[in-house]
Amino acid sequence: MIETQLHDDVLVITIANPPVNALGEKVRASLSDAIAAAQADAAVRAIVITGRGKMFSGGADITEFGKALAEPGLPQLVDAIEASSKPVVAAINGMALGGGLEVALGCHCRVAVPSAKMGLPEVKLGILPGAGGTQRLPRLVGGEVALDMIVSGEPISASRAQQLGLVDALAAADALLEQAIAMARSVTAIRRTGDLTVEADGAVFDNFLAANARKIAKLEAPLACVEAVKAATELPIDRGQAKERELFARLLAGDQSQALRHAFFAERQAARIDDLPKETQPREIAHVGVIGAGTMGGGISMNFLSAGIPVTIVEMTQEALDRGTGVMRKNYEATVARGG
Amino acid sequence: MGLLSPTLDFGALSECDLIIEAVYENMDVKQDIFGRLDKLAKPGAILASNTSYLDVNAIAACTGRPQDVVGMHFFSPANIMKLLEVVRGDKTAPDVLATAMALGRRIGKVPVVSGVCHGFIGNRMLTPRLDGAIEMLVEGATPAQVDRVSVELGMPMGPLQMIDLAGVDIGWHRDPTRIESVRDALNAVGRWGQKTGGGFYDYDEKRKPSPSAAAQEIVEQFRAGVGVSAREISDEEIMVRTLYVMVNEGAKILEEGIAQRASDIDVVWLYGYGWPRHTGGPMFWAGQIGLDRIVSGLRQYQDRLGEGFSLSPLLLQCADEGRPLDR
Repeated sequence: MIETQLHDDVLVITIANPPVNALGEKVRASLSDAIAAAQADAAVRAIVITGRGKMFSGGADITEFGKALAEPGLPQLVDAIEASSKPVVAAINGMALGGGLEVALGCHCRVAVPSAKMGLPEVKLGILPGAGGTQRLPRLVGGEVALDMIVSGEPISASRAQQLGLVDALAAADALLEQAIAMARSVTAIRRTGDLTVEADGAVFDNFLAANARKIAKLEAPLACVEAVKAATELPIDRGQAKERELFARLLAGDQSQALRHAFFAERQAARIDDLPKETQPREIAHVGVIGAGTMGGGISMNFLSAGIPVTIVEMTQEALDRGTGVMRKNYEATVARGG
Repeated sequence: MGLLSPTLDFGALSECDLIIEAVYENMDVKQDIFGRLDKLAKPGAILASNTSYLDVNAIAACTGRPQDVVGMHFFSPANIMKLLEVVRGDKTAPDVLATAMALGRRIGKVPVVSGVCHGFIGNRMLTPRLDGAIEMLVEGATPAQVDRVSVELGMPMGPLQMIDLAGVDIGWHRDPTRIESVRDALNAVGRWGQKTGGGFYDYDEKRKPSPSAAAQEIVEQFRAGVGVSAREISDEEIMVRTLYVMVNEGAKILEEGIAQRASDIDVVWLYGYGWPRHTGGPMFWAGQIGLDRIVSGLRQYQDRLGEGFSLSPLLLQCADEGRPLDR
């Protein structure tokens, strides 16, 4: 679940829980133990936390959704990381989402590879980041940016994270660990995210609510996210986290988060075909033909072209063919212009 | 665009591993195309129809290889909407079904398996919803009143706004002298929806809807013609006749084994029709508000739901036993 290795005086803890380094019960327990042991170990001067494989951590273990969480919970783990008397550096080797990012926020410094992405997508499941994310992110990036990230749930790039002060440095993938270790050794005074203060004019929140009213007015989670981030600008970390926990519990028990979690699992379940023989292998599709270059035929073709699959499109008349391909070209240009 | 080969030569399809027919909705035309494909497609090629209502088994029967035929129903605009209904014919081979599902995911869609029936999962449930909406206009409701109930639930638009967007003239018989429904009456005067600037609503250049005096007059004329007098229609009745009827149809879809599970129906509506995600989809929503409430609402308005309406035995049973609606 985790691996630990001492690099001279720096302990490197690697989360190794494929496929996404989810922070399930065993990972949390072993991380917590490793942090505690390091506090008492005179051979350890500093700690680096990283992930094995392509992700830092995808966050909570979805199989634990809806169950009572076994100790230690994620909030306690993140608090313990932040409270460490020895410097802790997050070496963000890939995606850090949800609880994964919250672990990184609890660390004292963050270094990331340029391809890493960071986000708090909890709102999409009708909840909010419940391990200090709503309190620590604003302390690093300010109330306004934190609102955007937490309410949209969309991840940001590593370079943007660096501009915002969410990560302290970027490092090439093959130099990440080395740089994180160097950074850990160089810390002279620990800066805990929770000790920072963030000031934001109350108008920031009112304006945000007004600007997004149509999108979020009836949605419990985004509104609770706004309330939680606002608390980060008004309360010390411990009281802010109490507020966060209270909001989290309320959302978790509500109809909307149940419905959103249902939708999440329903989509995964839909991929399953109940009565298909186990040994069924799909046929190879390298080239697709589409008959009809009208609105549907053109739209269908674009899906395959965007996925890099060649398409032969057939029409009855040259005029219909030209019209159809013309519409497709226009749609493409519109997509490119939108930056997608 | 470099990967696209536009051609007038049907024979060029012979090298394709998958051929998707996307011509207009007409069984004769589709059967003719599948007959031709049967002769030229390479062995093992998958022959798919993008039909949104028609019998995939009847299409497959025009080929000597019904095991290779499958429905792949994309939703408009097909390059944007995430839903893909993969329609499994009686003879569709397991690997053909698996291929269509895997390919759907590869191109970023959310594929859902449906059995063969008129309209498959999504459009079959849409039918009673749209019928109910239009019938209530005749009985005295306004379009804004009908649509508001869906919008308040969180849908991007109500059923009548949706018809205006898709085209009032879809499926129209094209005879302006033959007026058997409000839709016929709108079509007869060229009110085909957003694309002609008006349908149930009027639209400005930005396609923003406003209540239409012209449409109102057409409805009133039709109402007089069929001898119905207008009455007050409550939001509750609108809820039953545009939303509860969908749940009932969904339950029948489950009963008949058209959908594998209730949550698949939810996925269809979430990704194909903009059903509000925070209510989980129509079947989950029904469970949250209470199946007994759905049943009693349907019973209360049963005599207004048309001759063809019947309560789903599965819905009744689940409501009775207090268990979740599923197969």
